[in-house]
Amino acid sequence: MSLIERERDSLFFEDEGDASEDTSRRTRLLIVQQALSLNNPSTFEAPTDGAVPPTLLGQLKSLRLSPAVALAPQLPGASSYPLQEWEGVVQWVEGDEFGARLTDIAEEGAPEESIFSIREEVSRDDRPLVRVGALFSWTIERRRELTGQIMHASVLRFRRILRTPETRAAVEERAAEITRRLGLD
Amino acid sequence: MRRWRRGQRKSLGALVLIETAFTGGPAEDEIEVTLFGPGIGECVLVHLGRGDWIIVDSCLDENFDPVALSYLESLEVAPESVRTIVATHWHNDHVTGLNSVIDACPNAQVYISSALAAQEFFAFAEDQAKVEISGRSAVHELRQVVARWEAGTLDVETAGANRRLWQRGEPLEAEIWAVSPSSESHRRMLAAFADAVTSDAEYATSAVNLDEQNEVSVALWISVGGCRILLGADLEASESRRLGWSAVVRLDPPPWDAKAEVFKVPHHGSDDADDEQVWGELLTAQPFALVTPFYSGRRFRPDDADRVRLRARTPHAYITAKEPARKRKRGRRREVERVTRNRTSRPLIMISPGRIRLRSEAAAPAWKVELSGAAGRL
Repeated sequence: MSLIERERDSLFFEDEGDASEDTSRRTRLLIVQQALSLNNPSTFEAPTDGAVPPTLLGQLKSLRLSPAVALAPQLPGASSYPLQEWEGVVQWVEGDEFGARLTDIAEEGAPEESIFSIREEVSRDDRPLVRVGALFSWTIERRRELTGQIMHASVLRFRRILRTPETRAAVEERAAEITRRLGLD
Repeated sequence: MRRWRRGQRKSLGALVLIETAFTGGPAEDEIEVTLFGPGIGECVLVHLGRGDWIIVDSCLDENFDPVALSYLESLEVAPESVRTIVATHWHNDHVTGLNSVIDACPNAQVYISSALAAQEFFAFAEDQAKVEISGRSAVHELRQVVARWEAGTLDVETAGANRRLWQRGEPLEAEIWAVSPSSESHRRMLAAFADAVTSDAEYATSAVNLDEQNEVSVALWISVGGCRILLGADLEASESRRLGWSAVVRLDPPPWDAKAEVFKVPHHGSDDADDEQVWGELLTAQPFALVTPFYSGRRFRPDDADRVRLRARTPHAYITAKEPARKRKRGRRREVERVTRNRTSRPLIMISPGRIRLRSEAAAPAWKVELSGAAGRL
Protein backbone atom coordinates (compact mmCIF):
# COMPACT_ATOMS: atom_id res chain seq x y z
CA MET A 1 0.00 0.00 0.00
CA SER A 2 1.37 3.39 -0.93
CA LEU A 3 1.30 6.49 1.19
CA ILE A 4 -1.35 8.01 -1.01
CA GLU A 5 -3.56 4.95 -0.53
CA ARG A 6 -3.11 5.26 3.21
CA GLU A 7 -4.04 8.91 2.95
CA ARG A 8 -7.23 7.92 1.09
CA ASP A 9 -8.16 5.31 3.67
CA SER A 10 -7.55 7.62 6.57
CA LEU A 11 -9.70 10.26 4.92
CA PHE A 12 -12.52 7.83 4.25
CA PHE A 13 -12.56 6.51 7.77
CA GLU A 14 -11.93 9.69 9.72
CA ASP A 15 -14.55 10.13 12.47
CA GLU A 16 -14.85 13.81 11.80
CA GLY A 17 -18.19 13.95 10.03
CA ASP A 18 -19.12 13.91 6.40
CA ALA A 19 -16.20 14.56 4.10
CA SER A 20 -18.49 16.38 1.69
CA GLU A 21 -19.02 19.09 4.31
CA ASP A 22 -15.34 19.62 4.94
CA THR A 23 -13.74 21.57 2.09
CA SER A 24 -10.19 20.78 3.07
CA ARG A 25 -10.91 17.10 3.51
CA ARG A 26 -12.91 16.99 0.28
CA THR A 27 -10.00 18.57 -1.60
CA ARG A 28 -7.54 16.10 -0.15
CA LEU A 29 -9.85 13.24 -1.07
CA LEU A 30 -10.08 14.53 -4.61
CA ILE A 31 -6.34 14.70 -4.90
CA VAL A 32 -5.70 11.20 -3.66
CA GLN A 33 -8.49 9.78 -5.79
CA GLN A 34 -7.03 11.47 -8.85
CA ALA A 35 -3.60 10.14 -7.99
CA LEU A 36 -4.94 6.63 -7.61
CA SER A 37 -6.92 6.84 -10.82
CA LEU A 38 -3.77 7.15 -12.89
CA ASN A 39 -3.32 4.20 -15.16
CA ASN A 40 -0.01 3.29 -13.67
CA PRO A 41 1.07 5.66 -10.93
CA SER A 42 4.30 3.87 -10.28
CA THR A 43 5.56 4.90 -13.71
CA PHE A 44 5.35 8.57 -12.82
CA GLU A 45 9.02 8.97 -13.54
CA ALA A 46 8.75 7.27 -16.88
CA PRO A 47 8.89 9.75 -19.75
CA THR A 48 5.26 9.47 -20.77
CA ASP A 49 3.66 12.80 -21.47
CA GLY A 50 0.55 13.32 -19.41
CA ALA A 51 1.25 10.47 -16.99
CA VAL A 52 0.45 12.85 -14.18
CA PRO A 53 -1.72 15.88 -14.96
CA PRO A 54 0.03 19.17 -14.16
CA THR A 55 -2.80 20.19 -11.86
CA LEU A 56 -2.37 17.02 -9.85
CA LEU A 57 1.34 17.72 -9.53
CA GLY A 58 0.53 21.07 -7.99
CA GLN A 59 -2.01 19.51 -5.68
CA LEU A 60 0.39 16.85 -4.53
CA LYS A 61 2.89 19.60 -3.81
CA SER A 62 0.27 21.34 -1.71
CA LEU A 63 0.14 18.22 0.41
CA ARG A 64 3.95 18.44 0.68
CA LEU A 65 4.25 15.22 -1.29
CA SER A 66 6.11 14.63 -4.48
CA PRO A 67 4.51 11.92 -6.59
CA ALA A 68 7.64 9.85 -6.12
CA VAL A 69 7.04 9.85 -2.38
CA ALA A 70 3.27 9.75 -2.42
CA LEU A 71 3.09 6.76 -4.73
CA ALA A 72 5.95 4.79 -3.25
CA PRO A 73 4.87 1.39 -1.89
CA GLN A 74 5.15 0.76 1.83
CA LEU A 75 5.33 -2.33 3.95
CA PRO A 76 1.94 -3.35 5.34
CA GLY A 77 1.49 -2.20 8.90
CA ALA A 78 4.22 0.37 8.70
CA SER A 79 3.66 4.00 7.86
CA SER A 80 5.67 7.06 7.15
CA TYR A 81 4.88 10.72 6.76
CA PRO A 82 7.09 13.24 4.98
CA LEU A 83 7.74 16.22 7.20
CA GLN A 84 9.66 18.21 4.64
CA GLU A 85 10.87 17.51 1.15
CA TRP A 86 13.39 19.23 -1.06
CA GLU A 87 14.38 18.92 -4.67
CA GLY A 88 18.14 18.71 -4.88
CA VAL A 89 20.52 19.29 -7.77
CA VAL A 90 24.06 17.98 -7.36
CA GLN A 91 26.51 20.87 -7.72
CA TRP A 92 29.78 19.11 -7.05
CA VAL A 93 31.15 15.70 -6.14
CA GLU A 94 34.39 15.21 -4.23
CA GLY A 95 35.43 11.84 -2.88
CA ASP A 96 32.66 10.53 -0.69
CA GLU A 97 30.82 13.83 -0.52
CA PHE A 98 28.61 15.83 -2.78
CA GLY A 99 27.04 19.25 -2.41
CA ALA A 100 23.57 19.99 -3.66
CA ARG A 101 21.39 23.02 -4.16
CA LEU A 102 18.09 22.40 -2.41
CA THR A 103 14.65 23.84 -3.10
CA ASP A 104 11.74 23.16 -0.78
CA ILE A 105 9.11 21.48 -2.92
CA ALA A 106 6.08 22.68 -1.04
CA GLU A 107 6.94 26.16 0.10
CA GLU A 108 8.56 29.31 -1.17
CA GLY A 109 11.89 29.67 0.48
CA ALA A 110 15.49 30.53 0.03
CA PRO A 111 17.46 27.87 -1.81
CA GLU A 112 20.18 26.36 0.30
CA GLU A 113 23.04 23.99 -0.07
CA SER A 114 23.72 20.89 1.92
CA ILE A 115 26.56 18.41 1.85
CA PHE A 116 25.81 14.69 1.79
CA SER A 117 27.89 11.58 2.26
CA ILE A 118 27.53 9.18 -0.64
CA ARG A 119 28.48 6.11 1.36
CA GLU A 120 26.29 6.87 4.35
CA GLU A 121 23.26 8.46 2.73
CA VAL A 122 22.87 7.21 -0.83
CA SER A 123 21.53 3.75 -1.53
CA ARG A 124 23.80 1.38 -3.40
CA ASP A 125 21.52 1.43 -6.46
CA ASP A 126 21.55 5.22 -6.60
CA ARG A 127 25.30 5.75 -6.22
CA PRO A 128 26.06 5.55 -9.97
CA LEU A 129 23.62 8.43 -10.45
CA VAL A 130 25.53 10.81 -8.20
CA ARG A 131 27.10 13.26 -10.62
CA VAL A 132 26.93 16.97 -11.29
CA GLY A 133 23.46 17.91 -12.44
CA ALA A 134 21.73 14.85 -11.06
CA LEU A 135 18.37 15.48 -9.42
CA PHE A 136 17.05 13.86 -6.30
CA SER A 137 14.46 14.34 -3.64
CA TRP A 138 15.50 14.63 -0.02
CA THR A 139 12.79 13.84 2.46
CA ILE A 140 12.76 14.05 6.22
CA GLU A 141 10.21 11.46 7.28
CA ARG A 142 8.52 10.42 10.47
CA ARG A 143 8.11 6.63 10.41
CA ARG A 144 6.06 4.25 12.46
CA GLU A 145 7.53 0.76 12.40
CA LEU A 146 5.54 -2.48 12.59
CA THR A 147 6.47 -2.63 16.26
CA GLY A 148 5.01 0.83 16.88
CA GLN A 149 8.41 2.45 17.22
CA ILE A 150 8.57 5.98 15.86
CA MET A 151 11.71 7.13 14.14
CA HIS A 152 12.85 9.96 11.94
CA ALA A 153 14.66 9.37 8.72
CA SER A 154 16.57 11.31 6.11
CA VAL A 155 15.86 9.74 2.74
CA LEU A 156 17.53 10.51 -0.60
CA ARG A 157 15.96 9.27 -3.81
CA PHE A 158 17.72 9.99 -7.09
CA ARG A 159 15.53 10.56 -10.10
CA ARG A 160 15.60 8.20 -13.00
CA ILE A 161 14.13 9.61 -16.16
CA LEU A 162 15.23 7.43 -18.95
CA ARG A 163 15.75 9.04 -22.32
CA THR A 164 14.54 7.05 -25.25
CA PRO A 165 14.39 7.81 -28.96
CA GLU A 166 10.66 8.35 -28.50
CA THR A 167 11.06 10.91 -25.72
CA ARG A 168 13.70 12.74 -27.69
CA ALA A 169 11.48 12.78 -30.74
CA ALA A 170 8.59 14.15 -28.68
CA VAL A 171 10.76 16.93 -27.30
CA GLU A 172 12.07 17.85 -30.74
CA GLU A 173 8.59 17.81 -32.22
CA ARG A 174 7.25 20.12 -29.53
CA ALA A 175 10.21 22.48 -29.97
CA ALA A 176 9.65 22.58 -33.72
CA GLU A 177 6.00 23.38 -33.13
CA ILE A 178 6.88 26.29 -30.82
CA THR A 179 9.39 27.58 -33.36
CA ARG A 180 6.80 27.45 -36.14
CA ARG A 181 4.13 29.16 -34.08
CA LEU A 182 6.51 31.97 -33.17
CA GLY A 183 7.54 32.41 -36.77
CA LEU A 184 11.16 31.74 -35.98
CA ASP A 185 11.68 28.93 -38.47
CA MET B 1 18.25 47.34 9.51
CA ARG B 2 19.13 50.25 7.27
CA ARG B 3 22.59 51.64 7.53
CA TRP B 4 23.41 54.93 5.93
CA ARG B 5 26.88 56.22 5.35
CA ARG B 6 26.94 59.94 5.07
CA GLY B 7 29.22 62.69 4.00
CA GLN B 8 32.26 60.79 2.83
CA ARG B 9 33.74 62.71 -0.05
CA LYS B 10 36.50 61.72 -2.35
CA SER B 11 37.99 63.68 -5.18
CA LEU B 12 37.42 61.96 -8.49
CA GLY B 13 38.62 64.41 -11.05
CA ALA B 14 35.57 65.92 -12.62
CA LEU B 15 33.34 63.62 -10.62
CA VAL B 16 32.45 63.90 -6.98
CA LEU B 17 31.60 60.83 -5.00
CA ILE B 18 29.35 61.25 -2.04
CA GLU B 19 28.08 58.30 -0.07
CA THR B 20 24.83 59.67 1.14
CA ALA B 21 21.10 59.06 1.44
CA PHE B 22 18.73 60.02 -1.32
CA THR B 23 15.25 61.20 -0.59
CA GLY B 24 12.34 60.25 -2.81
CA GLY B 25 12.63 59.10 -6.39
CA PRO B 26 14.95 60.46 -9.05
CA ALA B 27 14.08 63.78 -10.67
CA GLU B 28 12.98 63.95 -14.32
CA ASP B 29 16.46 64.92 -15.45
CA GLU B 30 18.25 62.59 -13.06
CA ILE B 31 19.67 59.18 -14.00
CA GLU B 32 19.58 56.44 -11.41
CA VAL B 33 21.22 53.03 -11.40
CA THR B 34 20.03 50.71 -8.63
CA LEU B 35 21.52 47.29 -8.07
CA PHE B 36 19.94 44.71 -5.78
CA GLY B 37 21.42 41.44 -4.68
CA PRO B 38 21.73 38.80 -3.67
CA GLY B 39 18.18 38.12 -2.64
CA ILE B 40 17.00 35.17 -4.60
CA GLY B 41 19.11 36.48 -7.47
CA GLU B 42 20.08 39.95 -8.56
CA CYS B 43 18.35 42.81 -10.35
CA VAL B 44 19.22 46.20 -11.84
CA LEU B 45 16.87 49.12 -12.38
CA VAL B 46 17.84 52.21 -14.33
CA HIS B 47 15.90 55.43 -14.45
CA LEU B 48 16.54 56.71 -17.95
CA GLY B 49 15.26 60.18 -17.17
CA ARG B 50 11.84 61.64 -17.95
CA GLY B 51 10.13 58.90 -15.98
CA ASP B 52 11.31 56.00 -18.16
CA TRP B 53 12.73 52.88 -16.51
CA ILE B 54 14.41 49.65 -17.53
CA ILE B 55 14.49 46.49 -15.41
CA VAL B 56 17.35 44.08 -16.00
CA ASP B 57 16.86 40.59 -14.56
CA SER B 58 14.76 39.74 -11.55
CA CYS B 59 15.28 38.70 -7.97
CA LEU B 60 13.04 38.22 -4.97
CA ASP B 61 13.19 39.99 -1.65
CA GLU B 62 12.76 38.53 1.84
CA ASN B 63 8.99 38.33 1.27
CA PHE B 64 9.56 36.48 -2.01
CA ASP B 65 8.22 39.42 -3.98
CA PRO B 66 10.09 40.73 -7.04
CA VAL B 67 12.38 43.35 -5.63
CA ALA B 68 12.02 45.54 -8.73
CA LEU B 69 8.28 45.95 -8.17
CA SER B 70 8.65 46.57 -4.45
CA TYR B 71 11.25 49.20 -5.20
CA LEU B 72 9.16 51.03 -7.79
CA GLU B 73 6.22 50.98 -5.42
CA SER B 74 8.37 52.48 -2.66
CA LEU B 75 9.19 55.36 -5.01
CA GLU B 76 5.53 55.67 -6.01
CA VAL B 77 6.54 54.98 -9.60
CA ALA B 78 3.84 53.29 -11.67
CA PRO B 79 5.00 50.01 -13.29
CA GLU B 80 3.62 51.45 -16.53
CA SER B 81 6.78 53.61 -16.58
CA VAL B 82 8.92 50.56 -17.28
CA ARG B 83 9.78 50.60 -20.99
CA THR B 84 12.05 47.60 -21.23
CA ILE B 85 12.60 44.36 -19.33
CA VAL B 86 15.71 42.36 -20.17
CA ALA B 87 16.37 38.81 -19.00
CA THR B 88 20.12 38.64 -19.51
CA HIS B 89 20.38 34.85 -19.33
CA TRP B 90 18.68 31.79 -17.96
CA HIS B 91 20.25 31.27 -14.55
CA ASN B 92 18.24 31.02 -11.35
CA ASP B 93 19.96 34.03 -9.86
CA HIS B 94 18.84 36.27 -12.73
CA VAL B 95 15.27 35.35 -13.70
CA THR B 96 13.48 34.30 -10.52
CA GLY B 97 10.16 36.15 -10.45
CA LEU B 98 10.56 37.37 -14.04
CA ASN B 99 6.98 36.53 -15.02
CA SER B 100 5.56 38.53 -12.12
CA VAL B 101 7.60 41.53 -13.22
CA ILE B 102 6.38 41.13 -16.80
CA ASP B 103 2.78 40.87 -15.58
CA ALA B 104 3.06 44.11 -13.66
CA CYS B 105 4.65 46.17 -16.45
CA PRO B 106 2.22 46.29 -19.37
CA ASN B 107 4.17 48.89 -21.36
CA ALA B 108 7.49 47.11 -21.24
CA GLN B 109 9.02 45.35 -24.22
CA VAL B 110 10.49 42.07 -23.03
CA TYR B 111 13.90 41.01 -24.35
CA ILE B 112 15.63 37.67 -23.93
CA SER B 113 18.96 36.50 -25.25
CA SER B 114 18.80 35.48 -28.89
CA ALA B 115 20.00 32.02 -27.89
CA LEU B 116 16.85 31.51 -25.85
CA ALA B 117 14.55 32.15 -28.78
CA ALA B 118 15.63 29.19 -30.84
CA GLN B 119 14.36 25.68 -31.44
CA GLU B 120 17.38 24.21 -29.65
CA PHE B 121 16.50 26.06 -26.45
CA PHE B 122 12.84 25.15 -26.68
CA ALA B 123 13.79 21.48 -26.94
CA PHE B 124 16.19 21.85 -24.03
CA ALA B 125 13.51 23.51 -21.89
CA GLU B 126 10.96 20.81 -22.75
CA ASP B 127 13.49 18.14 -21.82
CA GLN B 128 14.38 19.84 -18.54
CA ALA B 129 10.72 20.26 -17.63
CA LYS B 130 10.45 16.49 -17.38
CA VAL B 131 13.27 16.39 -14.87
CA GLU B 132 12.11 18.99 -12.40
CA ILE B 133 9.89 18.42 -9.41
CA SER B 134 9.67 21.87 -7.88
CA GLY B 135 8.99 23.82 -11.08
CA ARG B 136 10.83 26.83 -9.71
CA SER B 137 13.98 26.78 -11.80
CA ALA B 138 15.15 29.38 -14.27
CA VAL B 139 14.29 27.11 -17.16
CA HIS B 140 10.74 26.83 -15.83
CA GLU B 141 10.51 30.63 -15.55
CA LEU B 142 11.67 31.07 -19.15
CA ARG B 143 9.43 28.28 -20.33
CA GLN B 144 6.51 30.26 -18.98
CA VAL B 145 7.69 33.31 -20.93
CA VAL B 146 7.89 31.24 -24.10
CA ALA B 147 4.45 29.72 -23.45
CA ARG B 148 2.92 33.19 -23.14
CA TRP B 149 4.75 34.28 -26.26
CA GLU B 150 3.44 31.25 -28.11
CA ALA B 151 -0.09 31.90 -26.86
CA GLY B 152 0.09 35.44 -28.20
CA THR B 153 -0.37 37.09 -24.81
CA LEU B 154 3.18 38.43 -24.63
CA ASP B 155 5.41 40.02 -27.22
CA VAL B 156 9.04 39.01 -26.83
CA GLU B 157 12.02 40.32 -28.76
CA THR B 158 15.51 38.93 -28.89
CA ALA B 159 18.70 40.69 -27.85
CA GLY B 160 22.08 40.14 -29.44
CA ALA B 161 25.28 42.01 -30.17
CA ASN B 162 24.83 45.51 -31.58
CA ARG B 163 21.08 45.50 -31.41
CA ARG B 164 19.39 48.70 -30.22
CA LEU B 165 16.64 47.79 -27.80
CA TRP B 166 15.17 51.20 -27.06
CA GLN B 167 15.69 54.83 -27.87
CA ARG B 168 14.24 58.20 -27.02
CA GLY B 169 14.76 61.48 -28.83
CA GLU B 170 15.16 65.03 -27.66
CA PRO B 171 15.11 66.81 -25.29
CA LEU B 172 16.88 64.06 -23.35
CA GLU B 173 18.22 61.52 -25.81
CA ALA B 174 18.65 57.99 -24.59
CA GLU B 175 19.54 54.60 -26.08
CA ILE B 176 19.84 51.07 -24.83
CA TRP B 177 22.01 48.69 -26.82
CA ALA B 178 22.65 45.00 -26.37
CA VAL B 179 26.37 44.39 -26.91
CA SER B 180 26.22 40.60 -26.58
CA PRO B 181 25.85 37.71 -27.23
CA SER B 182 27.98 37.51 -30.33
CA SER B 183 26.83 35.39 -33.24
CA GLU B 184 29.54 32.84 -32.45
CA SER B 185 28.43 32.60 -28.79
CA HIS B 186 24.86 32.18 -30.02
CA ARG B 187 25.90 29.34 -32.31
CA ARG B 188 27.91 27.58 -29.60
CA MET B 189 25.08 27.81 -27.10
CA LEU B 190 22.57 26.29 -29.51
CA ALA B 191 24.96 23.43 -30.12
CA ALA B 192 25.29 22.92 -26.36
CA PHE B 193 21.51 22.87 -25.94
CA ALA B 194 21.24 20.33 -28.74
CA ASP B 195 23.94 18.17 -27.18
CA ALA B 196 22.21 18.26 -23.80
CA VAL B 197 18.97 17.01 -25.33
CA THR B 198 20.49 14.35 -27.55
CA SER B 199 23.03 13.27 -24.97
CA ASP B 200 23.73 9.56 -24.77
CA ALA B 201 23.62 9.83 -20.99
CA GLU B 202 21.56 7.02 -19.58
CA TYR B 203 19.46 9.34 -17.45
CA ALA B 204 18.39 12.92 -17.91
CA THR B 205 20.00 15.37 -15.51
CA SER B 206 19.59 19.02 -14.80
CA ALA B 207 21.94 20.81 -17.16
CA VAL B 208 23.33 23.17 -14.56
CA ASN B 209 26.82 23.20 -15.89
CA LEU B 210 26.72 23.89 -19.59
CA ASP B 211 30.07 25.53 -20.25
CA GLU B 212 28.59 28.04 -22.65
CA GLN B 213 25.87 29.26 -20.30
CA ASN B 214 27.30 32.71 -19.56
CA GLU B 215 28.49 33.29 -23.11
CA VAL B 216 25.02 34.24 -24.21
CA SER B 217 24.42 36.79 -21.46
CA VAL B 218 23.03 40.07 -22.69
CA ALA B 219 25.38 42.88 -21.66
CA LEU B 220 23.87 46.34 -22.09
CA TRP B 221 25.23 49.72 -23.04
CA ILE B 222 23.04 52.59 -21.86
CA SER B 223 23.49 56.15 -22.98
CA VAL B 224 21.39 58.97 -21.51
CA GLY B 225 22.35 62.60 -21.99
CA GLY B 226 25.96 62.77 -20.88
CA CYS B 227 25.87 59.55 -18.81
CA ARG B 228 27.15 56.17 -19.98
CA ILE B 229 26.47 52.87 -18.22
CA LEU B 230 27.71 49.36 -18.97
CA LEU B 231 25.78 46.48 -17.40
CA GLY B 232 27.92 43.36 -17.67
CA ALA B 233 25.38 40.62 -16.78
CA ASP B 234 27.36 37.37 -16.37
CA LEU B 235 29.25 37.71 -19.63
CA GLU B 236 32.66 36.09 -19.36
CA ALA B 237 36.01 36.91 -20.88
CA SER B 238 37.41 34.85 -23.72
CA GLU B 239 40.65 34.55 -25.62
CA SER B 240 38.64 34.14 -28.81
CA ARG B 241 37.96 37.42 -30.59
CA ARG B 242 34.50 36.16 -31.44
CA LEU B 243 33.35 35.33 -27.93
CA GLY B 244 32.55 37.08 -24.66
CA TRP B 245 34.04 40.47 -23.85
CA SER B 246 36.65 40.07 -26.58
CA ALA B 247 33.84 40.22 -29.11
CA VAL B 248 32.20 43.17 -27.35
CA VAL B 249 35.27 45.42 -27.50
CA ARG B 250 35.52 44.63 -31.22
CA LEU B 251 31.95 45.56 -32.10
CA ASP B 252 31.91 47.30 -35.44
CA PRO B 253 30.43 49.84 -35.48
CA PRO B 254 30.46 50.26 -31.70
CA PRO B 255 27.35 51.69 -30.09
CA TRP B 256 29.38 53.87 -27.73
CA ASP B 257 30.57 57.39 -28.30
CA ALA B 258 32.25 57.83 -24.92
CA LYS B 259 33.46 55.71 -22.02
CA ALA B 260 31.11 54.52 -19.31
CA GLU B 261 31.35 55.88 -15.78
CA VAL B 262 29.24 53.12 -14.26
CA PHE B 263 29.98 49.42 -14.67
CA LYS B 264 27.92 46.57 -13.31
CA VAL B 265 30.78 44.13 -12.96
CA PRO B 266 30.04 40.85 -14.77
CA HIS B 267 29.74 37.45 -13.15
CA HIS B 268 29.99 38.56 -9.54
CA GLY B 269 33.49 39.97 -9.93
CA SER B 270 34.92 36.61 -10.90
CA ASP B 271 38.27 36.58 -12.71
CA ASP B 272 36.75 34.57 -15.57
CA ALA B 273 34.79 37.69 -16.55
CA ASP B 274 37.61 40.19 -16.14
CA ASP B 275 38.87 41.65 -19.40
CA GLU B 276 41.68 44.20 -19.50
CA GLN B 277 40.37 45.76 -22.68
CA VAL B 278 36.97 46.44 -21.16
CA TRP B 279 38.54 48.43 -18.34
CA GLY B 280 40.88 50.22 -20.70
CA GLU B 281 38.64 50.92 -23.69
CA LEU B 282 35.05 50.99 -22.52
CA LEU B 283 35.30 52.52 -19.05
CA THR B 284 36.55 55.79 -17.65
CA ALA B 285 39.74 55.74 -15.59
CA GLN B 286 38.10 55.21 -12.21
CA PRO B 287 34.58 54.01 -12.89
CA PHE B 288 31.96 53.14 -10.35
CA ALA B 289 32.16 49.36 -10.28
CA LEU B 290 29.13 47.61 -8.80
CA VAL B 291 29.26 43.97 -7.79
CA THR B 292 26.66 41.48 -6.64
CA PRO B 293 28.09 38.50 -4.79
CA PHE B 294 27.26 34.87 -5.41
CA TYR B 295 27.46 32.15 -2.84
CA SER B 296 27.64 28.65 -4.22
CA GLY B 297 27.90 26.92 -0.87
CA ARG B 298 31.60 26.33 -1.22
CA ARG B 299 32.79 29.59 -2.70
CA PHE B 300 31.87 33.20 -2.20
CA ARG B 301 32.34 35.37 -5.24
CA PRO B 302 34.11 37.73 -5.38
CA ASP B 303 36.84 35.94 -3.44
CA ASP B 304 39.79 37.70 -1.83
CA ALA B 305 41.82 37.72 -5.04
CA ASP B 306 38.86 39.14 -6.97
CA ARG B 307 38.47 41.92 -4.42
CA VAL B 308 42.14 42.85 -4.62
CA ARG B 309 41.99 42.91 -8.40
CA LEU B 310 38.83 45.02 -8.53
CA ARG B 311 40.11 47.47 -5.94
CA ALA B 312 43.23 47.87 -8.06
CA ARG B 313 40.99 48.66 -11.04
CA THR B 314 39.10 51.42 -9.30
CA PRO B 315 38.83 52.93 -5.83
CA HIS B 316 35.09 53.17 -6.36
CA ALA B 317 34.08 49.54 -6.16
CA TYR B 318 30.96 48.59 -4.24
CA ILE B 319 29.26 45.34 -3.40
CA THR B 320 25.62 44.76 -2.52
CA ALA B 321 26.50 42.36 0.32
CA LYS B 322 29.88 41.96 1.94
CA GLU B 323 29.60 38.37 3.10
CA PRO B 324 27.14 35.49 3.00
CA ALA B 325 24.27 35.55 5.44
CA ARG B 326 24.31 33.13 8.32
CA LYS B 327 20.67 33.43 9.09
CA ARG B 328 18.71 30.50 10.33
CA LYS B 329 16.71 28.81 7.64
CA ARG B 330 13.03 29.53 7.74
CA GLY B 331 9.99 27.32 7.42
CA ARG B 332 11.55 24.28 9.01
CA ARG B 333 9.65 22.38 11.65
CA ARG B 334 11.35 21.68 14.94
CA GLU B 335 11.00 18.00 14.20
CA VAL B 336 12.89 18.47 10.91
CA GLU B 337 15.45 20.70 12.57
CA ARG B 338 16.28 17.95 15.04
CA VAL B 339 17.10 15.57 12.21
CA THR B 340 19.06 18.04 10.12
CA ARG B 341 20.82 20.21 12.71
CA ASN B 342 24.16 18.45 12.51
CA ARG B 343 24.25 18.68 8.75
CA THR B 344 26.55 21.10 6.95
CA SER B 345 23.79 23.17 5.49
CA ARG B 346 23.57 26.83 4.74
CA PRO B 347 21.42 29.24 2.81
CA LEU B 348 22.71 30.17 -0.61
CA ILE B 349 21.40 33.70 -0.52
CA MET B 350 21.08 36.67 1.73
CA ILE B 351 17.61 36.76 3.20
CA SER B 352 17.53 40.52 2.73
CA PRO B 353 19.34 41.82 -0.35
CA GLY B 354 21.58 44.84 -0.17
CA ARG B 355 21.17 47.82 -2.47
CA ILE B 356 23.52 50.22 -4.22
CA ARG B 357 22.03 53.35 -5.76
CA LEU B 358 23.81 55.83 -7.97
CA ARG B 359 22.33 59.07 -9.17
CA SER B 360 23.60 61.75 -11.48
CA GLU B 361 22.31 64.71 -13.40
CA ALA B 362 21.65 63.53 -16.94
CA ALA B 363 23.48 66.40 -18.59
CA ALA B 364 26.92 65.63 -17.14
CA PRO B 365 28.01 62.65 -15.07
CA ALA B 366 28.49 63.51 -11.40
CA TRP B 367 27.46 60.35 -9.65
CA LYS B 368 26.50 60.07 -6.01
CA VAL B 369 26.31 56.77 -4.20
CA GLU B 370 23.91 55.47 -1.59
CA LEU B 371 24.36 52.13 0.15
CA SER B 372 21.75 50.28 2.15
CA GLY B 373 21.17 46.92 3.74
CA ALA B 374 24.23 44.72 3.51
CA ALA B 375 25.89 46.82 0.80
CA GLY B 376 29.30 48.34 1.32
CA ARG B 377 32.60 49.22 -0.26
CA LEU B 378 34.31 46.24 -1.81
